[in-house]
Amino acid sequence: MKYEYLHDEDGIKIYARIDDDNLCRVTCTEDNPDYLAWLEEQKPVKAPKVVDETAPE
Amino acid sequence: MAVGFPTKVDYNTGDVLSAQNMNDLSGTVNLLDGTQSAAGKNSIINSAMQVWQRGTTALAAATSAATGFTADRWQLYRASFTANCTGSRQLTADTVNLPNIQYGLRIQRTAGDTSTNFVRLVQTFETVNSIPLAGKTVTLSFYAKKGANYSPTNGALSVNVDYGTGTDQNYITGFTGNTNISATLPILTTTYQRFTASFTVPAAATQLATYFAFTPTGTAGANDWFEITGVQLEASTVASAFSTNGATVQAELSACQRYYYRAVADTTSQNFGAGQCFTITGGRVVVSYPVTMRTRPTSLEQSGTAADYQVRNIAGTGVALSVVPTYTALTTAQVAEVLFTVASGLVAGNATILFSANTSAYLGWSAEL
Repeated sequence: MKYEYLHDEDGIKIYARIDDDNLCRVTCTEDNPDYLAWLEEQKPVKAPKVVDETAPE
Repeated sequence: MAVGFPTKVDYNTGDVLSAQNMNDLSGTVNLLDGTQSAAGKNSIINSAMQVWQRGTTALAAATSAATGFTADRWQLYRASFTANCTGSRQLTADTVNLPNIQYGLRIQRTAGDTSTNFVRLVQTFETVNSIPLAGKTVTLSFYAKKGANYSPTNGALSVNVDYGTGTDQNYITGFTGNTNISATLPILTTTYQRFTASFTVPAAATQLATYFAFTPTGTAGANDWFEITGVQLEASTVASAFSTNGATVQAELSACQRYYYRAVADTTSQNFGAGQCFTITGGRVVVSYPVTMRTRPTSLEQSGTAADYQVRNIAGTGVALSVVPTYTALTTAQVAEVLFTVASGLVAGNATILFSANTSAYLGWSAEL
């Protein structure tokens, strides 16, 4: 999955999300949470930590 | 059922209605029974898993902090955004252990999956719905059961409530000052049971999130899942009879649509919205939401296939889109605007209608946290 820039509209950048099957199912602005999360993921890995949720206490 | 008040029936001039008059003689509190609904008592939205705008089967776990929604308002994710876990709607078919709740949400690890990364189902509350519980003793209650191959140690389900001090943040992205305020580890069986936990929400809390989690073990079998429904978070020291946040299914749907709205094509040629052609190859239509959204949606979802959508030409004939419907910056919390593009065949200045070419077509807008 990746995002591609589409065009600028009234100063707002519009992007297309291209899924792994090459289809675009989402178009969005540059302040869309999913787009921002994707941008964040492009940086060094920052994902939920692995912990044992159901280990007996 | 005991009578709550008043116990004194006859009054004379000068009589004062005292606390004793108001108190139940046996000291009990009258609660609504299970067939009655108290709108707003339950802070959980879509607590009975009634609303599924994104579909009802094989809804995948998140691939980022903003994805992974299953039943409306319920977000599913795993450590490191691992795949091979889905949410689906299930008929409870249980009128013995449940208070007449039709659906449950099943969270299932895909058979054969070997990852033991945790699985979490979370509902994040926006600040406006969190502050009313700050400083109060609250009770979380829910009904849950497990599948025959549910793999966590002892068949346990981790049940948690966290709070934060930020504003309208997504739990997966992270709360400012995230702190756990309730953690229990009930043991599930293959039959629905009700579990409860009471605790105090700190006065400083401006954000709340409730999540249910498990850490799988080994390789997933065919029934490595848990099901949950009737989730209730209320300002009370005990769990009262379950009722949904809204008093009706329509109210519950409206509450969900504040966060997400999907217009689905129930039939071919279902109209989505009317608008205007600006050129011979494109234009814009407007689509009204059923309710005002929480905030301005910043994306438009669609099927991914341009030919699933058409617009009317001057003769009223459908012209297939050549590019998928696209978000425009004029979309607000009140009304959406959609950009359409065709290869040719329109007349600039003419009115038009965007409609579905088949039942795969849909348009979706998210204002989730």
